[in-house]
Amino acid sequence: MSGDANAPSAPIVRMRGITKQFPGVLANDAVDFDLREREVHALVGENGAGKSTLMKILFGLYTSDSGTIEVDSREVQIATPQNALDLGIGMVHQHFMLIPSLTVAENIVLGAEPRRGPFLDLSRSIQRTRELSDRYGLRVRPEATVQSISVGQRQRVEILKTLSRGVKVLILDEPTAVLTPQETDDLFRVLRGLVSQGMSVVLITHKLREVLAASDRVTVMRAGRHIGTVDTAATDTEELARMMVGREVLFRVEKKPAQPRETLLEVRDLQALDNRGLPAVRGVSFSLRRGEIYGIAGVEGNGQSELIEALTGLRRPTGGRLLLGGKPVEGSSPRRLRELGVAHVPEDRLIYGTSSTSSVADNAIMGFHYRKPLAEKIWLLKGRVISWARKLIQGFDVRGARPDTLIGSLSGGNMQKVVLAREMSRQPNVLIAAQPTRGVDVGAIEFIHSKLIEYRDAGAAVLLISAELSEVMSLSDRIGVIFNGRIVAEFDAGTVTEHQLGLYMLGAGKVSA
Amino acid sequence: MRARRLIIEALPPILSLLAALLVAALIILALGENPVTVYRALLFEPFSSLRTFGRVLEVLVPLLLSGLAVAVAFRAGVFNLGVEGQLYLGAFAAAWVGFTLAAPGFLQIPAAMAFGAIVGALYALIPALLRAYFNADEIVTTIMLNYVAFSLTNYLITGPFRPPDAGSAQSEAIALTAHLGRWLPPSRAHIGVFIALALAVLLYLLLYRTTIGYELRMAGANPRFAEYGGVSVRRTIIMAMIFSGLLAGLVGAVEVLGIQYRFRAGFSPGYGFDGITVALLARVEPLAIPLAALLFAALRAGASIVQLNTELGREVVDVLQAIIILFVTAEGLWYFLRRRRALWASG
Amino acid sequence: MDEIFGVINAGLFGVSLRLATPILLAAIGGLWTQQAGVLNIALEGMMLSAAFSGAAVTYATGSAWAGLLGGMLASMLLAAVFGLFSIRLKADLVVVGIAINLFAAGATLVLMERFFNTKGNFSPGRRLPNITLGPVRDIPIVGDIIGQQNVLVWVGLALVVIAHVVLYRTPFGLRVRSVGENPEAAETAGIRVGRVQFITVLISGALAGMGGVNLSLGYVSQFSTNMTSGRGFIALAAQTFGNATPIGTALASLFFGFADALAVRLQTRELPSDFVLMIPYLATILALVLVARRRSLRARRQSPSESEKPEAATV
Repeated sequence: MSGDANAPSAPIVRMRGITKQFPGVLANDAVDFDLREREVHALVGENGAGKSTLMKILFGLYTSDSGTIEVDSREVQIATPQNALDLGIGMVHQHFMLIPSLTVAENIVLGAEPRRGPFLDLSRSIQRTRELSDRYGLRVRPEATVQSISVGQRQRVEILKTLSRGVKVLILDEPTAVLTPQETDDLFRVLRGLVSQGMSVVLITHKLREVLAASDRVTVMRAGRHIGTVDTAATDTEELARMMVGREVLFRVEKKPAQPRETLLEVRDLQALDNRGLPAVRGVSFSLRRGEIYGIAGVEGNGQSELIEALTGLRRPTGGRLLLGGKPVEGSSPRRLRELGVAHVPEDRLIYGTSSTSSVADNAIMGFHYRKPLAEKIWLLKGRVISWARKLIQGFDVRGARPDTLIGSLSGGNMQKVVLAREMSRQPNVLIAAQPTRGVDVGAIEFIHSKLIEYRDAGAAVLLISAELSEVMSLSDRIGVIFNGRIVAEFDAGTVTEHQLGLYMLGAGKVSA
Repeated sequence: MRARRLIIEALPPILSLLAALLVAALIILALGENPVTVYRALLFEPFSSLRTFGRVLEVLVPLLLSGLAVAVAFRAGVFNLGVEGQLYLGAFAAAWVGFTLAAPGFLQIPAAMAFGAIVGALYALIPALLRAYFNADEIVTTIMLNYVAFSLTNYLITGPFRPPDAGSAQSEAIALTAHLGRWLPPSRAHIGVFIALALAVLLYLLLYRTTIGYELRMAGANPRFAEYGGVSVRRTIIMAMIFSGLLAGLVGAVEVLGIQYRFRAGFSPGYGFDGITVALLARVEPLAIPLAALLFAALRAGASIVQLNTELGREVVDVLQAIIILFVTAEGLWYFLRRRRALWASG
Repeated sequence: MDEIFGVINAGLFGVSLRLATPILLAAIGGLWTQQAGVLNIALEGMMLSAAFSGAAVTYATGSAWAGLLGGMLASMLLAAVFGLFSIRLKADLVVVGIAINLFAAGATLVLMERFFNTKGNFSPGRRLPNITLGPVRDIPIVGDIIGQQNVLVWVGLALVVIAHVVLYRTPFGLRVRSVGENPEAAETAGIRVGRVQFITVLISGALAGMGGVNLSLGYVSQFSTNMTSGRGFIALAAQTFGNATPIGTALASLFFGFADALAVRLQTRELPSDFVLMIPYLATILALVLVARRRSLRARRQSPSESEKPEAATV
C-alpha cells in the first residue's frame, strides 16, 4: 500500500482482479482500478469495453465472479447499492434512476425520507433539496415533477440525489451523452467544485476531448481488460486513442481492394423516430454497391439503432426513400425485405438475433424456415433442418455446438457465429451488420472479419455499423460518419485518418477540418 | 446420451412432484388423516383393477386434451385460462349435433366433434382478437368469458333447447349413433382415449415438424427474435389461440359423446383448469402430456376412493394439484414464462 | 328499455354500494400490489379462503368479529405463499396466482366437508352488524343508499381514503410507487424492492380477505361453494380500470357493483336470468378493452429493463 511513491494521496477505492462473466460475454477480465482521494478519474474505452460493468460492481448492482474491493484500505463486500451507499459510494447512471411521476424533492429524499409523524414531510424535503442545490451550485426546482423537466435538469437531480446520501465517491456513467456542450461545461465546473470539497469522482466516458478537459488521471479499458492508467497532463488524444482502440496486430485485416459494381441499396433522406417518438434518423442518405463494405462510424446513440431498424423493416420510416435494386421498399415488412435479399446481423444478439432458450437448429433456420429446402408446404423437414444447422456450424467453426444444443449455452463469439452464418447463408445481396464483433472473443473477431470480407468478395453489399472505429476503418471500403441522425461526411477508407473521423463523430468536423 | 438427457430433463419435475406430495402429506396429517392411506388410494388403487383403471381412462381423455389445449397457447406465450368456458360451449355444440342431426355414426360423430371444436375455437378467438388488436390482457378476459360461457350454455338448455321432459338442467340425450364406442366394460372408457393420444402426437408434429409450429414456438420463446425473422407475432398468437380453442372444444365434445351422452350444466369438475397443471407438469411438451394427464387422471379416479375411505372430500386432489403447480414453477424451469432478465451489460 | 329504466332508483344504488363492497375491498388490496409492480391474480383465491375461514371461525367462536380476523389471517397466509413463490423464488406470477386460486377452491371444499359434512353451504350463525344512521335513513334517496349499510361498507369507503393518504402522503407510499414505476431506480436509492413488494402482497391479502369475509358474513350469514365466482378477477379489472389509484379504483368498483345490482334487479323481471348474470363479466371485459390501450397488465408483467428496450414495430 505504500509502494505508490508519487501518489498524491492513498487510493480511496482499490479494485483488484475483478472478473465478471455474463452469458455469452466476458465483461470484465481481471481488471485492476484505483481511485485516489480528491481526483477526477476518467474511465474510458469503446462501447462494450466493460467500463460500466466495472463501476456497477463497485456500486453493488452486479457482483463480480472474482476479485477484491478495498475502500479506505479495508476489504469490503458490496452486494447491494445500499452497501455501496453506506460506504460512501454513489453512482449517477447513464439511464437516470429517477421516478418520472414524482417531484424533484421526492426523488431526492426517496429512501431516506424526512418524516413528520407517520407522514412524509414535504416541506422538509423541499428545504433539504434547496440546501443541497445551494451548497453544490446545482440549480433545480424542488416542486416540479421529474417528467416535466429537461434532461440536463434531470441529471442535476440525479447528482443531487446521490450527494444527499453523503457520498465521498461519485461515479458518473457517461454523464455528457445527453448534454449540450454548454451543459457539459457546467457539469465539469460542478465536478471541480465537488473535488475541492473533498469528493473523489469517476467519470465514465468514451469522448477523449472530455477526458482531457475534465480529469486528473485516465484509465483505459478495452474488451473487458485494463489497458493502462496515465496522468492526464502527460498524455494526449493520440495516445489515448491508441490505447482505446488498440489497433496494433489485433485488427489488421487481409483484404484485396474492393471491386464495387452496381448500386444495390440506395437510401435517400430517410427519417425515423425513436421509441419516445422523437426524430432519431433525420435524413440519412447513402448508397451501397455490390462488392463493397460501407462502414458507418459514429458515437453510439446518434440514430444508428433506429437507422438499422428502419432499413430492416422493424421500424417504419417516417419519411424518405429506400430503394433496393431500384425498387422502393420503404415500409416493407421484415419478411418481405428478407425475401428481397436483405440479411441482418442485429446489434444485440440476445434481444433480436437469437432465442437463447431455443436450440442452435431453431436459431439457424429463422427466416428460412418456411421455404425450400427446409420446408415443403406446411412441413418443416427435420432432416434438412439438422443438416442445414450442421452445415452452418461447420462452415463457421461454431465450437461446442450441435444442432440440438441450446444456443444460450454457447459463448458470445460462437453465438454470434451462428447469427452470422444464418444471415450469410442468404444469396449474397445486402448484409446489414451491426456491431458484428461486440462482446466477442479475439479469435472470433478475426474470423468474423474475414467472413465479412469473403462475403463482400462474393458479390454482396455489406453495410457495417460499428462503434469500434478500428473495425470500421480496417474493414470498410467507404466510410460514412453519422452524427445526430445524419451522415455528416463520407470518405474513402484508404485516405482518411482516425483523427479526421473522430472529429466528425464528435460533430466538430467542419470547425477543425 | 439421449437417455441421459431425458433423465436430466425429467428429473426436476419428478423432484417437484415428490416435494409437493410431501407438503400435501403434512396437510393431510394436520387434517387428522393418514397420508399413506390417502396416497395409496390416489396413486395405486386406481391401477389395482380393470374397473378402476377404466375409470382412470375415462378421466384421462378430458385431462389430456385440456392439457394439450393449454400447452399450445403457452408455447406461443399466451395464457388461455378460458379452456373451461370453451369446453362448455364445445360440449353443447357437440350435443346439439348429437340430438338434432340424424345420421349414421361415421358421419354424426365426426360432425359433432368438428362442430364442438369449431365452436370452442370461435370462442377462444374473442380473447385472442382482444389481445392482438386491443392489447386487452387475456388472463382476465379468458376467465371472465368462462363465466359467460356457463351462463350462456345454461340459458341454451333451459331456454331454446329445453327438452320437453326436463327435470334438471340438461339437454336432450344425443342419438345412439353419436355415442363413442366403449371398449373396457364395465367402465365407461371409450375410444376417445385413442383420439386424445393421436392428438398429442399431432400436436407434437405441429410444434416440431411444421412451419406454423416453429413460428409459434419462436413467438413464445422470444417475440422480438420472431419479429426480426419475419414472423408476425400477432398472427401467430391468434393461430395459437385457435388451436387451443379447437382442442378445448374437443374436450367438451368428446366428453359428451363418450361419457355424458347429453349436455349437463356443471358436468366438468374443472377439466379446463386441470389442463394448466397437466401442461405445466409436462413442461409443455406434447409427448409428456399423456403421462402427466395419466397421473392426474389417477388422482381424480383415486379421489372417489379417498372420499369413501376417509373423511376427506375428493377436492383434496385440487389442493394437491395446486401444491404441485407451486413446486413445478418454483424450480425455475419455465424459462419462457419467466420474466427475462437483462443479460446484457452495456458499457 | 323501459324494463331497464324501471329498475333504476335509489334502492338500486344502495344495492350497488353493497354489492360493490367485496369488489372494492379486494380491488383496494390489489391496487397496492399493482402500484408496487406485482400483478396479483391470486385475489380470487384469497377472497374465497377468507370467505370460508371467516364463516368457519364465526361458527366456532360465535363471534363474527373473530371470523373477520380469522378470514383476514387465512387470506394473508395465502398472500404470504404467493409472495414467497413469486417474489422470493421468482416463479412466474401468473402461474403462482393460478395455483393459489386452485388451492383455495380445493381447500375450502375439503375443509367444509371435513368439518361441516356438506358440499354445498353452511351457515356460521352470525354476521357482521349493519350501521344504521338513524335520522339519515329518513332522508329520501340518501337514506336509501347509505341509511343502513354493513360495517364493512364503511370500512371499504374509509380504506379508499386511507389508501389515498398512505399512497401519496407517507414515505411508505412513496416507496411503493417508486418500486412499481422503476424498481431499478428504487433499488439504487437503497430501497429493498422485494420487501416492499412483499408487504404490498400482504396488504392485498388483508383487504381481499375483508372482501371475502364480507361475502359470507356481510349481508347473509352463509358460505357456499365457490361463492366468490370471479369477484377477485373483477377486482383486478377494477383496479386496472381505475389506473391503480384509490379514487379511480373505487369508482370502477362501484361501476361493477352497479352492473351486479342491475343483474340482480333484472333477474326478477322477465329477462332470461342467464343473460343478466353475464352482465358483470361482460362489463369487466368491456372495461379492460377500454383501458387496455392506455395501459396493459402485460406491461406490468414485464421487467422494466425489458420494456425499455426497443419495441419491434409491427407493420
